[in-house]
Amino acid sequence: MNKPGGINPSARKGILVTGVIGEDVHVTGIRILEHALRKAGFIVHSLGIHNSQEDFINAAIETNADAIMISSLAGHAQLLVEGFRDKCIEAGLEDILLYIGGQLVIHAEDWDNIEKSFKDLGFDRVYKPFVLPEPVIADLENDLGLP
Amino acid sequence: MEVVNKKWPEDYFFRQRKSVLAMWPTGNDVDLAEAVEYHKKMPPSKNAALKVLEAREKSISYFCPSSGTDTIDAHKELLLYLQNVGKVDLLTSYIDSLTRNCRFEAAEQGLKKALENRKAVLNGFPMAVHGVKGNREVMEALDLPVLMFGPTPDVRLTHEIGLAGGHTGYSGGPLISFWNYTKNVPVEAVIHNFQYTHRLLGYYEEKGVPILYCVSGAMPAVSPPSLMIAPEIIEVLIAAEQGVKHIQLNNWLQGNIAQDIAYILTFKKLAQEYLARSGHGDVETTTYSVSPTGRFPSEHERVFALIGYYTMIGLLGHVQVIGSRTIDEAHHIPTKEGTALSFRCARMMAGMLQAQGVNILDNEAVKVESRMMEKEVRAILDRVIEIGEGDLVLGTKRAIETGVLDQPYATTQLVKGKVMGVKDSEGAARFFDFGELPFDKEIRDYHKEKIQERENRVGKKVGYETIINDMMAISNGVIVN
Repeated sequence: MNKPGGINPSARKGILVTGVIGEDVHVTGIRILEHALRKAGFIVHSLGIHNSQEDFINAAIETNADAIMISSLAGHAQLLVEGFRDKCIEAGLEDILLYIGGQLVIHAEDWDNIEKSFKDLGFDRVYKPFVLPEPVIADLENDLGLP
Repeated sequence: MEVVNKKWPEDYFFRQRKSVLAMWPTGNDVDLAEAVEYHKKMPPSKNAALKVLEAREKSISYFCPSSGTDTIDAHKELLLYLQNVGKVDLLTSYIDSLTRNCRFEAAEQGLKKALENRKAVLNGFPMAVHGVKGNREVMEALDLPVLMFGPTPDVRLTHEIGLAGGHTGYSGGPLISFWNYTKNVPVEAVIHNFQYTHRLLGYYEEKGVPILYCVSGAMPAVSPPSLMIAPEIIEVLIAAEQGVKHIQLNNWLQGNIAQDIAYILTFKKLAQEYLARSGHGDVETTTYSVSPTGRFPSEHERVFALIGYYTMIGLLGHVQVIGSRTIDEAHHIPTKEGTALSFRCARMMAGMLQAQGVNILDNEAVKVESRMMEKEVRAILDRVIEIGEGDLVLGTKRAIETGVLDQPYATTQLVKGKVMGVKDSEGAARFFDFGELPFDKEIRDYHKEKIQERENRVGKKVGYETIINDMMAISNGVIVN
């Protein structure tokens, strides 16, 4: 895992676990987001590519994270995050924020349906492909009750 | 044992070799002395290292696709098609990704399935599973030299079998493999594996068989060229130390002509200088150009224009070998027809340009870019050598830990990942974030000034939105928005 080097602790806004779930190797989107999150003052524990649900949960416990942010571009996200919220609760992460974004499904579908299906799976925020970091950061600050 | 940049003693190499050959049963069939004799009986026209030297001598550019498929018959058919219909000059056996990860059993199962269904299952040629004999069957059907192609953290057994099987080169390297093809493998472990393959290439060289080794440093994504050239020169020096004698320098073209030509000139100049400084002035260097992977237009007519454009830059940079993307790779793994059409398009560009000897190497914009690029590469490399207390491998390890060597979109977690690039108003790659790179004020001001020019033109600050748009610009039809 990356160390939270270079961030002034007083500027710290929250602790985040980021990464790509499944066999997906697409890394550009999450790397840009991580860069922006660090610049905005968050401590980012990046897990990179090839992570399981357990990898995210273990990292969140280990780092006492405020949010888990999952990226996926291969279109299999629904299969990969099935039951994730329940596993978080079982692991004692009742209050953790769950965000997901990317190319979440294979076929072109109505966005409202996609968003709803992931919210039903327990995600707090669901983002379209090519979402910019700024609105994600604004949502985070809002959800974490930051000024 | 600590991994350092020192030629392996022969007994250490042969001890390592026992366990490498034991990785898969076909390893038993490799007889180095017999393989050397096999190569010596091959016509020189089928040797990649000699072929590229010939291009250098004649001041011409040869063409080389990167392709491969799973069964012997299908791979043979593919390469014969590219030789006879695509009219290329060198060929490659693209290594499938299971083999690249040393999952030989899974590759063997994939191969069985491909044979049963008469349909490709693997995304490349599994050298190790086919064994020496299988490799030779393909090589013997062809008139052109064939290189193995594909970065991966451990290509040792594939080298043993592929080389004994008649391949005369390999494209890949420890640093591009580390940045872009691993998640948690320490860089010194990847380098140690590559020292083995380099020592093997060096062994063939010692016995009088030239083998071509092609470095590629790091995969760019709107990356200023110093981010690729510095790791490429490290790859060159690590290989030379183990006895590699024929090295091809890979120039990643990103589309800004002045910057791309400056890349070719600066890399060649500094590679030769650092080689000479390390006592390897006898190493032959040749150059290669290709555009990086990344979003490509999906419409054939636009890709044909891009293939012609990147080929033109390689020709203007006088490289010895030109590679190319293909018209169909935005849709699927390139077909043999798509690859052949793409290379015939590229050759048409060479047919028009080559005889004219157009010289833009002294162009003012090229000179400005070259001067700054050279300063950046020296700053990085000299710091790497300094913190390694004279040892390049130790320096590389420490430089990656501290961000002196860094990449923006690496798959490995063992990297700072603080640097980031953005395009200037002419589409050249500049530093949006310098991370921990050891650059002085002149370099920093130059990049800031170039970014400022773009901000002035579009009337707003460059930010993450710009960076994302820059990565998609070419697929949308322009070098920069």
